Amino acid sequence: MSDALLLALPVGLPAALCAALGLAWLLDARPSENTVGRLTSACWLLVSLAVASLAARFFRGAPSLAAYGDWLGAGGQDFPLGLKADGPSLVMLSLTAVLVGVVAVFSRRYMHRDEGFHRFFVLLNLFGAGAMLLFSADSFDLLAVGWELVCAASFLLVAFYQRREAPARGALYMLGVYRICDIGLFAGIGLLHLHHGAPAGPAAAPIALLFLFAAMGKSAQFPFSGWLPRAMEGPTPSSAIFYGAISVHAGAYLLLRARPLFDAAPGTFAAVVAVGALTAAYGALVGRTCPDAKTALAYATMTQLGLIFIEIGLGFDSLALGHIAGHAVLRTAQFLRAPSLLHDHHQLHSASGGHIAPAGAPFGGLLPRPLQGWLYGFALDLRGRGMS
Amino acid sequence: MSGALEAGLHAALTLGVVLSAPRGERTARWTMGVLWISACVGAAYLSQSAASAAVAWATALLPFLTSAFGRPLDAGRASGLLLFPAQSRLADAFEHGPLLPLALLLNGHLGALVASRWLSALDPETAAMARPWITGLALLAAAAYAALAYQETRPRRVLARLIAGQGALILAGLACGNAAAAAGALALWQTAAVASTMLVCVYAGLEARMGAALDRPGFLGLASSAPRLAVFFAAAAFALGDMPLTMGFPAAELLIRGLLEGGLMGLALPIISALNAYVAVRLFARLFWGRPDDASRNVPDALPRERWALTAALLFLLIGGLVPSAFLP
Repeated sequence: MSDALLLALPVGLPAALCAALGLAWLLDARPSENTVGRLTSACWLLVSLAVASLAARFFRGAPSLAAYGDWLGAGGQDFPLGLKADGPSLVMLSLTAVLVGVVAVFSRRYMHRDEGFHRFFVLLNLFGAGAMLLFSADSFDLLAVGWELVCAASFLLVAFYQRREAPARGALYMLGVYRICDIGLFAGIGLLHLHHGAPAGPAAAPIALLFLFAAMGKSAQFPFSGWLPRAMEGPTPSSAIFYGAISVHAGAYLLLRARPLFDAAPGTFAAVVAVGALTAAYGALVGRTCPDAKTALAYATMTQLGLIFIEIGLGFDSLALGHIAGHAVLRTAQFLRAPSLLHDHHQLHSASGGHIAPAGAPFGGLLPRPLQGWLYGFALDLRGRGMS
Repeated sequence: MSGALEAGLHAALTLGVVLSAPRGERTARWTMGVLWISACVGAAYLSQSAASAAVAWATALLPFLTSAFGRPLDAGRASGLLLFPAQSRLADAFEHGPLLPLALLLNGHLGALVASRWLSALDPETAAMARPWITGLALLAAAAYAALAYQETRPRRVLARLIAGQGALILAGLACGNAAAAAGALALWQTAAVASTMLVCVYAGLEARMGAALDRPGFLGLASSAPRLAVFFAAAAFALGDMPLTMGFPAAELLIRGLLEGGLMGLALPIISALNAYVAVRLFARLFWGRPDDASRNVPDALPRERWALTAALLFLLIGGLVPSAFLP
C-alpha cells in the first residue's frame, strides 16, 4: 500500500464515518446503537492497523511522507496538503488510534440508551479525525485545521448534557479560552508565512512565543487552566480521551513541532520552563483541595502537563514524548475507572475492616501542621478564584 | 447615473420594508434606524458615481487640487462614513420588523463594494496612499463591531453587529490591494452572505414559532425540540467564526496572509475572528442549550421546505470549505 493511502486512512476513515452518521441523522435514518458502535470500533481497528503499518515502515528506516497537492490555489498563495509520519507524530498517532478505539468500545456500554448516543459517536469520530490530522500534518497550516476541529469537538462534547446549564457555561468558558489562545497560533502562522517559513534570529522569538501562547491554552497551562476542571461536565469517556489523553497533549506536541523556532531564539526556552513550573505547582497545590475524583484528576493532569512543558523547555524531547505516552494511557484508565471508583473503594474499605490509610499520609509529616493548614486554605482560595 | 438608479431602487425597497412592517412594530426608533441606514447607503451609491466623475475630472484637469486636500484623510473619512460609526444605528434598525428583508437591505457588503470601486477609480499613487488608511479603519470598525456584539444580549442586535463586522472585514481585504487579501475578501463575502442568511433564516423561523419569548434572558433550550434548526444555526455560526471544514476558514487564512503582507495591522484579524466566533457560538448556546421551558418545549423542528433550503446553504459552506479553489479566482 502506498504512503499516500496509508497516511490518508487514519484521517479519512473517521472523517467519512462522522459525515455518514451525521448525514444519516439529518435524513432521519437512525442506525441502531449496535451498528453505530460496531462501525466505530471497526473504523478505529483499521486506523490502528494503518498506524502500525506506518510505524513498521518508520522502524525500517523509511519515514512516510505524502503530498496531495495544493488546497487553496487562490490569490497566489499556496497551502500544501501534506501528511507525514515521523517519530513524534507516530507516538501521538498510535496513542490516538488505540485510545480512541478503547474509548469507543467502552462507550458502547457506558452510553447505552442515552438519548445522545448517536451524537456522541459523531463527535467522537470528528475528534478522532481532527486529532489524526493534527498529529500527521506536514505544515503548521494543516496542523491548525486539526487543532480547530479538536476545539470544535471538545466544545460540543463538554456541553453534551445540554439540558443542564453548568455544562453549557463550562463549554462556553472553554471555547473562550481556546479562541483567545488560538490567536497565538494563527498570528504565528501568519508571521511564519511572512518570513517564508524560516525566520532567523530575533524574528523567530515572537513567533515561538505566539506558539507557546497557543500551547498554553490547549494544554491548560496557568493562567489558562480554569477550563480544565469545568470541562469535566462532559461524559466520562470524552473526559478520558480529551482531557486525560489526547487533546491536552496537543499543546505540548505543538511545542515539539516548533522546536526549530525555539532553537533559533534560545531565550524562549526560559518562558516554556517558567510556564510549566508555575502550572505544575498550581495543579499540585489546588488538586489537594478537590472533593470529587474527576476534578482531582483534572488538576493532576495539569501538574503532569506542567512537568512535560519543563522537559520540553530543557530540551529533553524524547523524555517528554515518553512522558506524554505514559501519562495519556494512565490518565485514560483513571478517568474510565472514575465512575466506579467510589463503589470499589467502599467495598475495599469494608473488606479491610475500615483500615485503609488515607492517600498521601506518609508525606503529611514532611511539613509542619500550621503550614499545611495555611497551604490548604491558600489552595482552596486559588481554586475558588479559578472557578469564579 | 448608475449611482442615482441604485440609490432610487434602494429608497423604494426601504419604503416597502417600512410600509410592510406590522403597525405595532413600526416604532419611531426602528423607523429612524432603517431610514438612517438607507440614507447612508443611498448617499454612498450617489457619492460613488460623483466620486468617479470628480476623480476623472480632477486627474484630467486639476491634478494640483487632489494634492492640496490631503488625500489619505479624505479617503479615511469617506470609508468611515460608509462603515463606522455611520452604521451604529444598524442594531436599532434590526430590532423590529421582518428580519429577512432587513438583512438583505442593510448588510454592509454593498458598502464595501462601493468603497473598493471608489478606490479603483483613484489614480494609482493616490490609491496606494489611501489603501493602508482604509484597511486600518475597516479593521478598527470590525474590531469595534465585534466588541459591541460581545456586549449585546438581544439576539437581533447581536446578528446586526455580526453582519456589520463582516462587511468591515470584506472592505479591509478589498482595500488592502494584494491578490491574497482580495481573494480572501471574496471568499469571506460568499461565506458571510450565506452564513448570515442561514442565521437570519433560522432565527426568523424561531421567531415565527415563539414570538417575543426568544428575547428572554438565559438559556432557552430549543435544541431538544428543534435539533435540526440547532445544527443549521451551529454550522452557520462556526462558518462565521472561521472554523475549518467551512468556507470561513480558507477566507480567514487568505485574509490574514494578505493583510500581513500589507503590514502588521493584519495581526488584528485573528483577534477579531476569535471574538466573532465566540459571540456567534454564544448566541447558538443561548438559544439552543439549557433546560426548555413551556414556551420552548413544543417548538416544531425544521419543516421540509426549510430543511432543503438550509441544507443547500450548508452544503455550499461545506463544499467551499473542502474545495475553496472552486469558488475563488
